[in-house]
Amino acid sequence: MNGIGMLKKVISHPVTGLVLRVYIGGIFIAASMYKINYPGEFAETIASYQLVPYWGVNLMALIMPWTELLCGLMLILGFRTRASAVLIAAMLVVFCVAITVTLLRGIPIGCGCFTTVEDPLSWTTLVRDLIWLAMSVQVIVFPSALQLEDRLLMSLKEVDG
Amino acid sequence: MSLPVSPNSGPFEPDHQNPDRRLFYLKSLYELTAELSPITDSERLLNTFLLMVMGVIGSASGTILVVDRNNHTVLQSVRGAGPVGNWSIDQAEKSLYVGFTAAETRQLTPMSVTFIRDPAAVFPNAEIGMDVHTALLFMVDDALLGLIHLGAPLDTGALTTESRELLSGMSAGFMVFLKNVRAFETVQALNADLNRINDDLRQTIADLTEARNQIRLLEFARIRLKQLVQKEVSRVGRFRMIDTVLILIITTTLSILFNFSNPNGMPLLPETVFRTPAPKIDIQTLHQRLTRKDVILVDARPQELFDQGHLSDAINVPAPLFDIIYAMKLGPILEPDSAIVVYGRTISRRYDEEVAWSLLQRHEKVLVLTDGWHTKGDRPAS
Repeated sequence: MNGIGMLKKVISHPVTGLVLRVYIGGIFIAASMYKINYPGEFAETIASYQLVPYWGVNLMALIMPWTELLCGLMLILGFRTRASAVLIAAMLVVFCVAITVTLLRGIPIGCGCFTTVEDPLSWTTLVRDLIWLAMSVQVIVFPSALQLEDRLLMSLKEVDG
Repeated sequence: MSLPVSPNSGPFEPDHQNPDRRLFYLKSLYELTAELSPITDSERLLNTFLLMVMGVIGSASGTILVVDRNNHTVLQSVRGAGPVGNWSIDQAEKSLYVGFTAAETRQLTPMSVTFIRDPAAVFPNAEIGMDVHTALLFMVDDALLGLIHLGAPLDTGALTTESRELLSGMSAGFMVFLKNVRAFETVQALNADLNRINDDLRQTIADLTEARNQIRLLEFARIRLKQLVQKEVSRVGRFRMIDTVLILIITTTLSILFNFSNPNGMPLLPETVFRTPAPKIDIQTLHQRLTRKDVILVDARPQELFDQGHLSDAINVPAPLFDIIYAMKLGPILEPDSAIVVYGRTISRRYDEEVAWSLLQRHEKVLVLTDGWHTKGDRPAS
């Protein structure tokens, strides 16, 4: 087996899916905690990107952390994994676009990904989010091990007889 | 069919001299046949026969006792006798046994009848309820036997030979009818039983039909359930848009509910949406007033944006730091007649309105710059 074949096998392996699932889920749960408790500060972060209409900033600051939390939990549990991964990937796409635009516009703000007090945005931040996006895509495309839904599926197959 | 009749004995005498009486006997036999032939009920048959026999012989009292050994039943008919009550099967069998021991003919064959010797002694009054003058024992078959007790005739104390033959003949005819009636009753009972069985069968068929319908319904439900399960099995693990929508609905609900109880919560929409906008000033008027130096310029944006570029002589007063900066920097330089022009808004925040609203709590002459540099890509013009 050549190197590319081995790489494909590793990427598509269910254990890889499990590891990435738990990793991404954990990151998003951790990221959501501060933002859920202090939505006002997160709203200022969103406003500093200057992309969201002013009437939607507060709503976004309220809903997005909860979406991160729920999707993170569902990823770790393995329940509705693909739907959760799709939402997380969508959020990461939005983050990447926002970071790119902000970097190009030269607005000197922090990322605001975990807390409000962070280093200013940089291309490294963008690369990090792109890596997370790639991990989310792996979870969407390939099956992963130890999913709660697998247990449900087995029960349904037993009922199906 | 032979009718064994016991030989003359006791008080019975032949009566060859009275043809009218013989004619009467023959007529009686004819009438008996006519009376009994339409009867299909045992009890009525016994009653009718007893009445006719009593009439022919001239007795004022009489009983008939029929024992059905197959069904263990006793049929009886009583006329003119004292109260004796209903006979039990044991009493009837005992009476039959007593009759056999005193019968003129020891060996009875089916459809035969015999007289009983000295009936008054064999069947005492206390047992039958009357003084028995004549008694006959008859045997329809092995399982159907009976006794006929008759009281003394009203006209004479002894039965003639013709009377005995007539009595035997009537009894023989009665046995034929009794056998037929019993057979008819058996057929009726069988028919009734058959009807009952038919009813049971019909009920069973109805139950089976209902059960079949239920089974069909259950089978349909099983197939439907299986289809649903298969559909769900095929869905599990796949991406579905409805799941993402559901997650978003849940998170939206949770976030709004939590925000109401969160001590750090915030309004769903910015407060500037609901406030009355501050008076406006355009860029040309601002230039004129700046030349007259009767206006103070306030940049309401965060410091990092202010540092990127701002209008000349503008003082940076971000809304979160308003109280501190107002007290330290802005307050000391403000004259009572000074006008304050606030600028700085982005697509995401109306910083100018926020700071202008705070200033309006302390000053009257607060204006917000309507357009100018911030409309051109948020870049400062100077």
